[in-house]
Amino acid sequence: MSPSEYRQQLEAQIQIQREQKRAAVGALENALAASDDEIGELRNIAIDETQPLELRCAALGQMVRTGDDDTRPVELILSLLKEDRHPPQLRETAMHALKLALFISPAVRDYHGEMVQALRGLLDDTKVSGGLRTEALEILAKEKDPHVQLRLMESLRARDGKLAPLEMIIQFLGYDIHTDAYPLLRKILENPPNSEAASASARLLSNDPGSTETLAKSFESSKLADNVRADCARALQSLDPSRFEILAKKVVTDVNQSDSLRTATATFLKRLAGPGSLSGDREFVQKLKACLDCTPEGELGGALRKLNLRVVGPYE
Amino acid sequence: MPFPNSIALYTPKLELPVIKAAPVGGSPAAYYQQLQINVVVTSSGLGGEFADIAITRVANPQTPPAIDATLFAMMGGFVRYFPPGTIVPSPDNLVAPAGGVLVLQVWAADILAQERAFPPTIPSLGRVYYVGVERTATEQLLRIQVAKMSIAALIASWKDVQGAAPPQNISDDDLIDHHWARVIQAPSTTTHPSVFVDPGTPIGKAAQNGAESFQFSLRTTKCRAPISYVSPLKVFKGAPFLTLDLHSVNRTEIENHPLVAASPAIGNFAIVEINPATEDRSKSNYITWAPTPAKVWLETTDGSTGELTVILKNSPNLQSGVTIQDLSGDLLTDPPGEVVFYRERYLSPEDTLELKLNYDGTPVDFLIGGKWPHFSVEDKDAGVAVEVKSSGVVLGKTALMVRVRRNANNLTVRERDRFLKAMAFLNNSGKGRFAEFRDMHVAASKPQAHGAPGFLPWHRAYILDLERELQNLDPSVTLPYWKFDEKAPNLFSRDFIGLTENDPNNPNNQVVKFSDSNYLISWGTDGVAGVLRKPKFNTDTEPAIVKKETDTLTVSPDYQQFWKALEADPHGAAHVSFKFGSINHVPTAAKDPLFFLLHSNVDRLWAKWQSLHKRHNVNSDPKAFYEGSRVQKGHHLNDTMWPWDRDEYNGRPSTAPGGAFADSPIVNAPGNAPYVRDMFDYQGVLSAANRLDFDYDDVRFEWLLPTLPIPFPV
Repeated sequence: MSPSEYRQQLEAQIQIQREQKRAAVGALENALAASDDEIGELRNIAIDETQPLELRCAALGQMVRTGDDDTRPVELILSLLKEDRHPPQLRETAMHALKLALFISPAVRDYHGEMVQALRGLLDDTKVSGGLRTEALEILAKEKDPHVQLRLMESLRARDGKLAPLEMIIQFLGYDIHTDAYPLLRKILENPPNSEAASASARLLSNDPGSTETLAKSFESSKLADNVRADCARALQSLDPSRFEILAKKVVTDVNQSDSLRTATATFLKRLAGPGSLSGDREFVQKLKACLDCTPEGELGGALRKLNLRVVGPYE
Repeated sequence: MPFPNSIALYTPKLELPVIKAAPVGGSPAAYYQQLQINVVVTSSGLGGEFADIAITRVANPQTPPAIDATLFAMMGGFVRYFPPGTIVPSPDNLVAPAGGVLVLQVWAADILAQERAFPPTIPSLGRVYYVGVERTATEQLLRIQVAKMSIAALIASWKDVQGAAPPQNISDDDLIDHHWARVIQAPSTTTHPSVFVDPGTPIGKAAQNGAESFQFSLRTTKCRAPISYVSPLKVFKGAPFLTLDLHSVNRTEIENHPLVAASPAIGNFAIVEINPATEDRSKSNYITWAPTPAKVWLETTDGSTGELTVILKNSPNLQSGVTIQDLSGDLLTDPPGEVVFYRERYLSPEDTLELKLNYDGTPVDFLIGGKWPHFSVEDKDAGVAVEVKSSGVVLGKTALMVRVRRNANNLTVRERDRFLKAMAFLNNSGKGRFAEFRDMHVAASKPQAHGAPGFLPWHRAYILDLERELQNLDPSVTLPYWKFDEKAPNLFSRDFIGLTENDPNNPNNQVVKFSDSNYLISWGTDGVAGVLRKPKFNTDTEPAIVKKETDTLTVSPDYQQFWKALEADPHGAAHVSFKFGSINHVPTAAKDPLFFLLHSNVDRLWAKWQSLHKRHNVNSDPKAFYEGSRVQKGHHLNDTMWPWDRDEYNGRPSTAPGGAFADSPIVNAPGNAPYVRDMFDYQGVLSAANRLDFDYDDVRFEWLLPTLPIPFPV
């Protein structure tokens, strides 16, 4: 294709898109056409309770995209989030618009304090959906808001799920993990209310040297779900590679363990074991060979064979 | 043929390791012979990426094999080429097949080091074969070396080099890096290590030609940050090897020189060098669409004189028998990367290039570029052949890769895995160099990188810096892009960037799942394992909730409107197409590896817009950039960019993580502390010196000619 053909092709595509765009702009463009103040017009539509809700939401979204340094979009978003009299759909659009503004709008920086207050307010706002509350919680956690740190820790202790599901509480704590959370996370892993919370705990404990023992026990525990034990294995490897290798070798060669756990552990071992630590362990090499002899092809068989390749090489 | 492809293709793939210093006062030769270790490396074929490494024990150390009389395990290894039909010094007296065989000798312990830091395209461990020797004997030798790397010894090494104890949180890898740095560096003029160099290598040739000192750089696989090193070296000419005395070496990190062997030359042959200024020849043969310098010359041993007319042409170099599968499971049938030639700048590309070469060896310069849209999918799957015009005899071939950024959804399985392996290696479960990239894109960086005109240049620099780090690990890797206005089910899978499963009992589930074989399974950041991401769209069937590409490209031909629109939608819209997860918030977005694919696409859109409107020239084209009147430092053309400029004042963030901008082995731009203006002429359409050495699969190169009039809506 020559450069001119390439350009012609691109221009043809552009022309089609241009026509489609013209047809789609509809009512919003008409409303804006006569105005020199696009943001003002959009704002008028967004707050006009007589307008269709979809149009109000579209106007709000467009305000943020065209807002630049103008402070009116941010002010409107925050007022919608603060005031529970607005329709839920409009407040959800405001949340989406706020996230977008946090990426693109220089104006939002001047409203940081107000934004935090608005989002904190949503945590106890009974008129908003759980989803919107959780989104507010997530933003504040990422902003490392100290108030939310306290609320997350309270929820972690209470395990009541009122603020958000327990696993999300734990995941949000991960954005600003403090050492005082580790003992609570260990307790959750030792006595988990559900596997999601246990997994989330294991992922955060991968950075806590004080949790080595808990992770090792959990990795070995047949009471825990396989995916939780796999998360514990990964976390343990991060903290204590030697301990991980000892336990992983046991799991891989234990025919009483589930296939899925053995498969995952064999893969970790192949990827993460230190040089020489596999081939130098004669007992393990023999056990692995015995397992290979009685394991058919399939996920587990494939994982064991790949591990064996790592251990002995094809010529032995 | 004197320079078969297998050399050029294969030798750069091994990051050859460093030597253990010989004891003071003894004979280095005797010392190394005591090791009784010989390492044979064979390429599995032309263009093969596989390193078949066999370790054999020498039967009698006092009587080494005749064909290879050097048993010195040494820094950089010793590489020798055995032409087809010759006997390779292997346990089974292998007859070298077509393409020849390379023999490499390395220090035994360095096999361990290679396993630790193997280039991603070289399969690790599974390719280390122990042949003709009991593995316990081999391992015993390896263990001796490992034992020398005890923590106490490593800490002592650190102190020796640094003059103080290492920090408490230092990783074992860092300790080992410094240990090797200590081993190689000479603490005094009496305890220096030596290097033995084959006369057939470029270094050896230079020394044989009378050079008493020349520039020489070394690199170890264990040192992450290469440092160029230049120092005069004494050359001792002792048969059969030249000994380079490194007594003047005094530094903490070392860069190695690729040792490429040459068999004895018979007759005439032609040599093509791509990017001839690139010192590290293992990283030179990579091109994009943009024309890159190259030269060709004749070498002769039969006394020919005068001129010879040759033709340069494409020489596809995909390994025979290799099947390439894309992520949809389809086998690729298209030819691999192809090249075009330019006699000089501003001339049209040609599929073949006729040149007159002089037998006196005078090089002839030309330019070479990828032939759009024929990109490579494998390392060095393309090539250039030099043919005699009158006879068609091929005088030489050089393999290369047309290396461009590709749509992540359309990658091949092997491209995907090379990328993931390099990313995972850089991340090292949260303990690697990636942490610095994550630290660059935090809350403090927001005014430097967002909401102002520098948004696009800053992110272009940011992802290029990361891509260069990835290419340091594997030069065949590029940063793919997530074309977010199209569905990308191959990208959002357990085998690639991870999948968030829809759980009816847990509608807010944001845990990303990876397959066991995915290198990202051990991804972690800031002490937390895994990735969180909850999309608002169906990743199997829908694009992200963003503006279509053609709408973006037609927003305006003026940068002032274009960047604002692009930053909002599709860029911002793509970020917030995720209800939960780190990617939807500036301070946490870079925790997610998807972030970099998203921004690769944002940058591609800018590149495509630049191409469409010819907006590369910020000096004369007022619509190529817009500074505004009151934006802060970092958003004007002549501002340096944080954090690479280390500026922690002038309204910049109070810390500048990450260090200097990564060097490229191929181009000099943009330097270690780039300016905003350095990011516009990325293809070098205005000046070859501006080229940043990246391209996109669907953005072609064109010389900057007068702009074609294109009507756009007001």
